[in-house]
Amino acid sequence: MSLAFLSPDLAEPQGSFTPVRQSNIEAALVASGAQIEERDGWRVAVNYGDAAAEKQACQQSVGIAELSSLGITELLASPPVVQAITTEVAGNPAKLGTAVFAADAWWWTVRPDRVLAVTAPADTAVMRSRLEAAAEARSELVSVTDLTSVLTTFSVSGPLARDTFARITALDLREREFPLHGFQPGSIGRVPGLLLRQSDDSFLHSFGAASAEYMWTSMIDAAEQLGGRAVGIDALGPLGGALEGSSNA
Amino acid sequence: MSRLEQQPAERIDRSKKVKFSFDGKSVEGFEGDTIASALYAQGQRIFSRSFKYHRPRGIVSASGWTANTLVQDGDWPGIRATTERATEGMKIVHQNAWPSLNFDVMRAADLFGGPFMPAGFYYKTFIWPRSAWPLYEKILRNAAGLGVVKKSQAHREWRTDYRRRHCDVLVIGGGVAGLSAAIAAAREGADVVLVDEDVEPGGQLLWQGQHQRARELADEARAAGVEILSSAPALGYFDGMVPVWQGSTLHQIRAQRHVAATGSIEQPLIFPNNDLPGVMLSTGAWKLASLYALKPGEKAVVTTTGDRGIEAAWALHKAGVEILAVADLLPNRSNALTAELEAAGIMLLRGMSVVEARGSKKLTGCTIAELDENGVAKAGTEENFDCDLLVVSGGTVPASSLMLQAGAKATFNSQTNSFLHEDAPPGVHPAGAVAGKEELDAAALSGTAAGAAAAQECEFGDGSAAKAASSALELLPAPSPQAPSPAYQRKSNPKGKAFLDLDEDVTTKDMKYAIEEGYDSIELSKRYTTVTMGPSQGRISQLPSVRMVADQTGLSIDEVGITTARPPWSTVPLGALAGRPFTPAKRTAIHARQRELNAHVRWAGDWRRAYDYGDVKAEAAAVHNAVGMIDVSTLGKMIVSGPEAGVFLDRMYTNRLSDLKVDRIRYGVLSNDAGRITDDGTVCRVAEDSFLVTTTSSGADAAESWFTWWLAAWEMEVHVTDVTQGLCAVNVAGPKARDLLAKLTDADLSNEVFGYLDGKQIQIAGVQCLAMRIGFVGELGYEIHYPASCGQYLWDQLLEVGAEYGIRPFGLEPQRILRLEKAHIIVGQDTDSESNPYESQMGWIVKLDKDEEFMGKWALERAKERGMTNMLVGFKLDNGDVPIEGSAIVVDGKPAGRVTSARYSEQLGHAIGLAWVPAEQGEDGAPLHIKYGSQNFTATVVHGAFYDPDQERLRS
Amino acid sequence: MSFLLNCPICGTREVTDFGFGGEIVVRPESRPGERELNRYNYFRANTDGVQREWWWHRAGCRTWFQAERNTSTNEVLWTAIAEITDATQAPVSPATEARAAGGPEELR
Repeated sequence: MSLAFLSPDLAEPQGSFTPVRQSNIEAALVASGAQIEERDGWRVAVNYGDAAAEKQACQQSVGIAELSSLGITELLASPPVVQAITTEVAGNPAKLGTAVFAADAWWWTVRPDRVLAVTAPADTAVMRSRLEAAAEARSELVSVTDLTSVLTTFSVSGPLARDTFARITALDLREREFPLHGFQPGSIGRVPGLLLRQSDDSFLHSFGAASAEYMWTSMIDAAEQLGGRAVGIDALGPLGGALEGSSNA
Repeated sequence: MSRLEQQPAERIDRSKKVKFSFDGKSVEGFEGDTIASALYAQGQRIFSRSFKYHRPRGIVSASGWTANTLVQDGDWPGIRATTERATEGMKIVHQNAWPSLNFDVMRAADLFGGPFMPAGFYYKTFIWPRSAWPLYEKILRNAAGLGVVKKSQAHREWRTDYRRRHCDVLVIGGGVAGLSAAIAAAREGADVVLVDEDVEPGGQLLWQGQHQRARELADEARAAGVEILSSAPALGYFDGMVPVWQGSTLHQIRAQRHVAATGSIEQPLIFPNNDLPGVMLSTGAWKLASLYALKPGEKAVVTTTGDRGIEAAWALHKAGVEILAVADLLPNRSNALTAELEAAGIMLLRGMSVVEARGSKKLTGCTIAELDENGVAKAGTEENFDCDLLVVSGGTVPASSLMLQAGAKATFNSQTNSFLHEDAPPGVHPAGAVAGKEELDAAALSGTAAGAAAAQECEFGDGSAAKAASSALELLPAPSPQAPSPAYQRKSNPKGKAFLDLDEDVTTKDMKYAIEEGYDSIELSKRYTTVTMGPSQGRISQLPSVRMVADQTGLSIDEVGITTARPPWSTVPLGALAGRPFTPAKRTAIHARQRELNAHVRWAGDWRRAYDYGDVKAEAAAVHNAVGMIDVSTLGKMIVSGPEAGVFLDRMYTNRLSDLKVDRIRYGVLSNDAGRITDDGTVCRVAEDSFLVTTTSSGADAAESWFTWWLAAWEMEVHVTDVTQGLCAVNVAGPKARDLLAKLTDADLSNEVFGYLDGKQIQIAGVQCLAMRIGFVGELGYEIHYPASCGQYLWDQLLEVGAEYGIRPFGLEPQRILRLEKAHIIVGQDTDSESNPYESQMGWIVKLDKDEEFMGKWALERAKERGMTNMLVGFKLDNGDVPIEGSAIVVDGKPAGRVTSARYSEQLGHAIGLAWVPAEQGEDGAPLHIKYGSQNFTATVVHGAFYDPDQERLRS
Repeated sequence: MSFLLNCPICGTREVTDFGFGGEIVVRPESRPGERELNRYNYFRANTDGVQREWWWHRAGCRTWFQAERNTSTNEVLWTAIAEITDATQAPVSPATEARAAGGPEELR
C-alpha cells in the first residue's frame, strides 16, 4: 500500500486551512515572468506574458515549461509481475528503452523491475488507486509509491530541443539512438535524469526536485542562446505527444 | 607595402577593409587577413622577442607552428597572429619585449659574454634562498612573458558553451586525405563529422594552387551529409573522446571510429642564425604569397631536402620573388620540377645546403655550401648570397600527436627521413601524411581507404571501397626521395646561435651541454633544456632535437625515440575546458522562503542551506524557551519495504529493527564490515512491511547505493525507494511545540497517545504528514515529513500560527549548538573512517546477540574484546573560552587527540565540546589539556548529555 | 579518463554516469578468523590488467552490475547484472569510499 505522507493530492481543506500544491521553484518561475494560476488543484505557470511568442518558440526554436505537477507513480515488482500489472492496467506491457502512452499515462520502464506511470495532475490519484488495487490482488511483493514530489519534470520542445540538450548532456539524441517515444535514464546537467522523446521534437525531462532551480537556470540559459525561452503550460501540446499530423502517433 | 596582383587562391576580400591597432599604431588590412598578414603588408617583420635571449623573431610557418607570432588582443594573451583572423577594432599588442620590439634591453643576454643563459640556467640560478622565490617568480614571469592574464575573474566577459556530438566516424583534419575519408565514410551511410583547424577545409590544397579541387571535395563531403566544423582544432584524444574548440564552443565529440588525417608539419634545418626574421619555412612563404597576396621577400634563396622546396620556389618565382638560387641537398635530383626551374633560368645547386644566415634584426644574406658527413661546409664550396628571404624546407613529419595520445608508436623511417606510425589503437585509422602518404594522389587514396574501413567497422558498407582504394594505392609510384639532413649544418668556424627550438630558445649548444652533463636521454634532456615544451609543443623542434641527441650520443633516431605531446594540441583558454559552470546545487522546496526570511545561505554538501537567520543566540533560545523550526528536508530518506525489510535492516544496522512496532522509531548506526561508523539516522516503522529510514544529508546517496548493493548481492524480497527530494522535513522543537501543532491538527498529541519516539501519520493543516517525536536538538520536538509540493504551504502555516508562541525559524549553526548540548554526534565531523561505535561511546547500539549476522559484527566483536584505545568524550570549559575545532588534546606535552566540535552554550553559560582522547584520559571529571598554536585551555571531561541528561524535557 | 561503459539496463554511457564499487571482494561466509577478516577488509589485489569490479549506474537506472575491465587500458571486456546466490561475492563499502572523498559531514 502507498504511504499517504508522500502524496500531495491527498492534502485537503481542513477547518480554516486550504492546502496549496505548487512547484518548489515557483519563486524562480515568477521571477522569469510566469503567470501563476490554479489548475486541477495545482498552482502552475500557465504563461510568461506572451502566449504567441511562447507557442512560436515551441514551433521554431525551443520552449521550456515547468511541469512539476505531473503525477509520477512508481511500481516496483519482479519483472514478470511488472509486465502483468502494466498489461492489466494499461493493456500495454512496459519495455526497456521505449515508453508507452496508454490509459492516459506515460509508462516509463526504468528497469525491468521498476516502472513509472506519468499522469496529468487530475489523473494521478486514480492511477495510484488502480495500481494499488492491482498490487493488492497479487501475492508477490509489489510496491506502489507516489513520486510526484520527488521528481520535477520539464517539457523541452521545439526543433532546437536536441541542440539545447546537446549543451548539457552526453546522451545520444540522434534519431537512430533515440527514436520517437524513446526513453532513457542518464546524466543531464550532471544530475541523474529520465528523458522521454514525447513527440518528434518534444521531450519530457524528469530529475530530482531539489535540483529544479539549478536545472531551470541551466536549461533556460542554454535555450536562450539558441533563441528559445521559458513557456507556460498553455503553449504545450497534449501529454501523450502530438496528436495531429504525427505519422507516428 | 602593396600587395601582389590578384592571386587565384587568395583569401582576402579587397573590397572590405578591417582596421585594428598594433602596439597603439593603426593597421589596415582586408577582410580575410590574419593579424600577421595585415601587419606584414604594412612592412612589419619583427613580431616578438624570443623567450630567453630576446632576439627578434618573425613569421616562420604562417601556420602557428612557433611561438614567434603569439600576440595579445586586449585581455586575451597567446593569440596566434598567423592564423587568427583580423577583426575590426582589435587591440593587438606584442608579447615578451621590453620596452619595444625594436629595442629590447634583455637582448643583452644574447649579445654579451659567454653562456649567459646555458641550459638549466633557470634551474641553477633561481633556487636558493627559498625566501627569495616571490621575487624570482616576478623576474621569471617578466623575462619569459607569454602575455598577461588578468587576475580577476570579474573581467571574464565571454562565455563558452559545451556541445555534445555523437557520430559514427570522426575525421580529424580536412586536407585531401581527410576530405576523401569523410566522403567515403558518408557515402557508405555513416554519420560523419570532419573537424579542421583552418577557416575552410582543403589543407595544403588551398595554398598549393589546388583550391578549386579543395572546394569541390568539400562540396562533395557536404552533399554526402558530412558535418564540417572549420576553425575547429581537435585538442586531444581521450579514450575515444575528442574535444574540439571552435570559437566559443567546446564540442565533445564521441565517435565510434576515428580517421586521423592531421597532415604533416614541415621541418626546418638547423644552422647558425636560423631564427632571423626572413628565414621561413617554404610553407610560410608560400602561404603568404598564395593566400594573402604578399611578397614574402624581394630576393630569395631556397634550401631544401625534397620536392617541396622546389615547388615552393616555382610558386614564389611566379609570384614575382627573385629566386637567386635553389640549393637541393640531394646531389642527383632530376624530375619535371627541376626541369621547369632550370628552363626558367633559376640556379639549382645540387648537393648543397645552407650553412649560415646573416643579419642583425632581419636577414641580409646567407651562405650555401656542400656538406661533409658531419654537416660542416666543405672547404672551397661556399657561395654567399645577399637576400632578404631564405626559404627552408627540411622535409616533413606527420602531425601525429593525436595518434600518439591514442597509443600509437612512432618509428623513424630513414627513406622518407620522417616518422611512421605503427600499432594504431583499434578504431583509429591513419590517413594521408599520418599514414606515410604525403603526396596528393596517395593521400587521397589512403583517405578513401581509411574512411571506408572506418565506416565498415561501424557496419556501413561491405569494405569493397576500402579494398579498391588500397589496391590503387599499391600501384602508385614511389614518392620522390628526401635527402637526409644533418643535425647541425654550419661553416667550419660557425658564428652565431643555431636554434633547435624557437619557442624555448634552445640552441644546439644547450643540447650539447645537457648531454655532457648527463641528460642523455630525450626524456631527460627535454625537461632539462625545455626543448619542445613551448606553446607549439615541438611541432618544428621535435625532430631536430631528437636528431641532435642521436648525433651527440651515437644512437639511432629510433633508439633515442620521441616524446608524446600532451593535450591540448592547440592553444585553448582554460575557460573553454571548464565550459559552462554547471554546479548542481540542491535546494529544498522551502529554500526560496528562507531566502525571503534573510537566511544566510551556505553550502552544506551538495545543498544550499540556511546557516542562520541573523541571530544565532535568539534562534537557539527560541527552541529552549518557546518553539523553533528548522528545515531538515536535506536528510536522506528511503522507503524500505517488503516482508524481509525488517530482517534486511537488522543486517544493515548494528542494532535490532525487526522487532520495532508500527508507528515507533529507533535510532540506528550503519557500520561497514570493518566495524566503522558510516552513517546514522532514524528508522520509523510506518506499516507492517514498510519503514521510513533517514540518513545524514550528505550520506543519502551513499546509503541508498549501500543498501541496493547488498540487495543485489543477497537477492532479498525488499524494495528500496529513495524519497529524499520528495519529502519536506521540518523539525518543530521547543516547549511550545505541542501547543502549536495542536492548532493545526485534530490528532491527539498528548504524551500518553503520542509519546517520545512515536511516529504517527496525521493530518496537519490539511496535509498528510508523518510526524516523528525525536529529539536531536534536545527539546520536545516533532520532525514532520510531508510532500515537498506542499512544502512552502505548511512552512507558512507553521510560522503564521506559531507567531503567538514566539516561533522562530532557526538555521544550521544554532542546531549545532543545540545538538552539542545533548552531546549528539555528527557522523563525519565527530567521527571519521576509523571510528567504531564503542570508542564513539555508542556501544549500547551494537547488539552482538542479534540473530542476524549484521554488517560489521565480526569486526565489532573484536573491537569489544580489544577494548578502547581512544574515546570520544564531551568536555566543558568554565571560563568562556572556546577552543577552535581541530585543536589538539595534549598529554605529557604531546598531541594525543583532537577537538571535533566546540561551541559556547548560552543556555549552559559555558563552552562545551566533543573530543577524541586516549581512553585512559577519558574518565568523567578528568582534566583535559587543549592546545591550539600558543593558546592553551584546560577543560573537564563530561560523560553524557550536558543539557537535560535525564531526558525530562525531551519526553515531556 | 573518459571511456564508455555499457549499463546492462540502459546501454552505453560515459563513465562519468557511473559510480565505482571497487574490485570484487569475497565476503567470508561465516565468522572469519582475524587474519581472514583483515584480508577481506583491508587488502586489495590492485591488479594492473584485467579485473572484475562493481559499478552502479548512479546517474541512470541506479542498478549495480559487474564488469571486467583492463585497469591499464580501460578496455571494458563485459558488463552484466550480478547473479550471486551464495552471498559470498559481496561489495566492500561504497559508503566509506563516498565519505572519504566527500569531506566533513555538515549535518546529520
